Amino acid sequence: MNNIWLVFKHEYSRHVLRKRFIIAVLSLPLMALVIIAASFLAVGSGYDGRPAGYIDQSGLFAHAQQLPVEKDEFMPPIQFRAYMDEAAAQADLENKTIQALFVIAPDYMESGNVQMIALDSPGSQVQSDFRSFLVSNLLTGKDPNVVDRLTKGSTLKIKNIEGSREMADNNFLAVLVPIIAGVLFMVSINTSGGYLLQAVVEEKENRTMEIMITSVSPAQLMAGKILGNLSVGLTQVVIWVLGGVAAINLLMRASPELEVGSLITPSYFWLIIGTFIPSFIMVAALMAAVGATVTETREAQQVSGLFTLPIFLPLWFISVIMSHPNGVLAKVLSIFPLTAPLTLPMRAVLTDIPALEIILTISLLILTAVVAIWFASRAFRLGMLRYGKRLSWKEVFRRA
Amino acid sequence: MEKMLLVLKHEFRIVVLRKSFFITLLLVPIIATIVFAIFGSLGGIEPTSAIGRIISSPEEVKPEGVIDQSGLIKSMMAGIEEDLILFPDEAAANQALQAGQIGSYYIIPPDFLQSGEITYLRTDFNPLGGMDRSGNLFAVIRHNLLIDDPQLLERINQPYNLEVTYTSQQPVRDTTSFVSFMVPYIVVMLFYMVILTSASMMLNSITTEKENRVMEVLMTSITPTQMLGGKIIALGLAGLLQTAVWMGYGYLVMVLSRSVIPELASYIFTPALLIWGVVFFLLGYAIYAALMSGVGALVPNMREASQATTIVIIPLVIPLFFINTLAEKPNGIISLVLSLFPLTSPITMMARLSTAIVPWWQLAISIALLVATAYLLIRAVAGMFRAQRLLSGQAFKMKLFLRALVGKA
Repeated sequence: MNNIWLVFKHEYSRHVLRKRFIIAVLSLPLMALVIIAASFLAVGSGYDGRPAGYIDQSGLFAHAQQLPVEKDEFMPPIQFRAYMDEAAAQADLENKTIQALFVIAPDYMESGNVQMIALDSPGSQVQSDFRSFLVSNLLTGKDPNVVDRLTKGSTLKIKNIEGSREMADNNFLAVLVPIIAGVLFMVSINTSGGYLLQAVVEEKENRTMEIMITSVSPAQLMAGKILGNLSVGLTQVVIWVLGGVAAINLLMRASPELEVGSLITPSYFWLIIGTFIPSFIMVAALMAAVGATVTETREAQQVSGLFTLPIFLPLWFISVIMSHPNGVLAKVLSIFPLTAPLTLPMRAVLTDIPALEIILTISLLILTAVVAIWFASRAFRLGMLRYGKRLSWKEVFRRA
Repeated sequence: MEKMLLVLKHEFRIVVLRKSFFITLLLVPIIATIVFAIFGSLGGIEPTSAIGRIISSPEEVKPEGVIDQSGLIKSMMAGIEEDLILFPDEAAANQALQAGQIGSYYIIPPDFLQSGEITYLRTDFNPLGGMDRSGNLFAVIRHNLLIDDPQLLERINQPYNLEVTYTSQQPVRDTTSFVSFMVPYIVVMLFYMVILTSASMMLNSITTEKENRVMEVLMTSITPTQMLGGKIIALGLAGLLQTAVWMGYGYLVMVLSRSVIPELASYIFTPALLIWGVVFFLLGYAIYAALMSGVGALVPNMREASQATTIVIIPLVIPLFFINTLAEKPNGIISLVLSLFPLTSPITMMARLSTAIVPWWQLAISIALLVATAYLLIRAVAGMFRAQRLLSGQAFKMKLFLRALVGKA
């Protein structure tokens, strides 16, 4: 036990206390910030706040009201100026005081014909703002409630029949939760798996292993290594999750209309924990096994790709799983151990999964994890001191 | 010059005759075709192909129920009576649900007009897939709100038929046509991938030779500039060959499958765009290949190389962030800056060229800057191939890379 602790401590501090680990931890939120900033910049650069003009030949918009401007809006709606004759409007268009000119046809009410004239492509917002402008002015004089229902539409609140779950269509942020959880899972599996692989193969390559084995038993060495590198990955995830929760709290305070809502219930949280922990152990054990059977770092990377590929697989089919959460594909992927960690949480957000199915999946995961550990410890013991020739899979099983 | 040619010939032969090159050449388009075929048929409610049907079996579409407690719905619209059934109360709707007559139902509460809230009950929850069909209900609600003024309803549903005229001389991208809308996106993605793959071939070649110490022997009889020049040209040619094969294959598939894409191809494969494409590819590739070789010279092994390259390719990714802006405002300020800065200009300039007319002086400045940068980079990187660098085996650091580039390390 003491030896396991020593190995664990060495593996853990060797990665976590390094500058590279801190950079890796910071890089993800930094990346997210950069992407958000870039997309704001891209949207902002497409915005053109100049007014637009219109010529009303139908007589319906003689006393038109502008779209209401709210205070502190990021991109306030465009104002529309009425022009009497085309020449003045054209002149303003030429000297760029208006960004586009709309001509409303005399038979507008029957045909809906409108012509837009612009120099080159106008701001991205002008067409949709003009549409809202037309609609809001067509509806003047109606009951304000009716106008609200016609322009703002309605909000749907989805419930299941038992009434145990509900979700309004404005808190779609919640659908992102399983995807984010899945990506975090993948990243942490990749880092800790990569470290583990590297730790095993490297020590084998530079023969540290031979010396180690004189004072530590193979089982202790492997257990320490697996636990140590797993903790590195988990540390990373915990830091990200805490940071993410803090960020969401700040966001909620800033704009309370966003709701993550009732989705992240305790049972959902336990479901994620229940799938992620055994799959973590499973992947780590498989990585250790690969590391013990191969002899070179590059070879190890190729072989480990075989495991990581099926873990990513659900992301390829994400649109199918999300729109048909009870389809054949979604069910199969959520039961197969390697694809389950990403698929099950995704499905659980979108539909009611029978308890039996969850129990089946999780027990399969635990079973696979146990088998993987057994397999890894055998491969480790046999392949640990092998050089030049790689341990074949057959050998691992044969001498069982 | 002679030695450079020697390196060029050797490198090109090695790369092109390698089994993995051949496999990627053939495998990538085949896998892309299969993936494209499967995913293309998955979209929508009705999967079109046999494989698509197996993967996402179409669900049985049952009518939906409505319980109107607000008294708003006085008449149903024509044409959707079969999809939307009105029930007097929840008990009746529940009964129909149990009997399998409907799959889900809406409850419009008494205060709907004020609150705008509707409750939607489904047996399987499924908030994403289930929302598709609520458009029917919204149409019915609008119909009933404006029941005495059908003409106004029509205007609210469709505020205008817009006819757009542009008065400037610049050709303006027609965003209503799918084909001309897609062109800049495709050009940008294609360029990004091609430059990246050929530049990584360079990295691969350098690190391999460094790791197995061929480089040390090589450096005794040839100057670094000669070696780099030969390698860059050879791998650039290989990259060009690969692209030509892939594009030819893609074009062939599109023609054979008789999709809308031949129209698209006629947009992309204009002679002017092709010539500019080759020019900007070669220059952009030369810059990134030089940077990658620099990384290759400094990193101790392949594993560290992949970490170091992520930093180097960041400028290559920047235009991808702004792809919407580039497509919508090809002559805007962001587009101009990105298309002059040498590290982002190859991709950006191609995006601009594919959507608008670029003033010739901007093209000239951009190319001049690219040529100058490529020349300086290759010279600087050649300086990195010194014995102590190649042998040191020290870990890759960005600071070291930058110092080596300006010749201070």
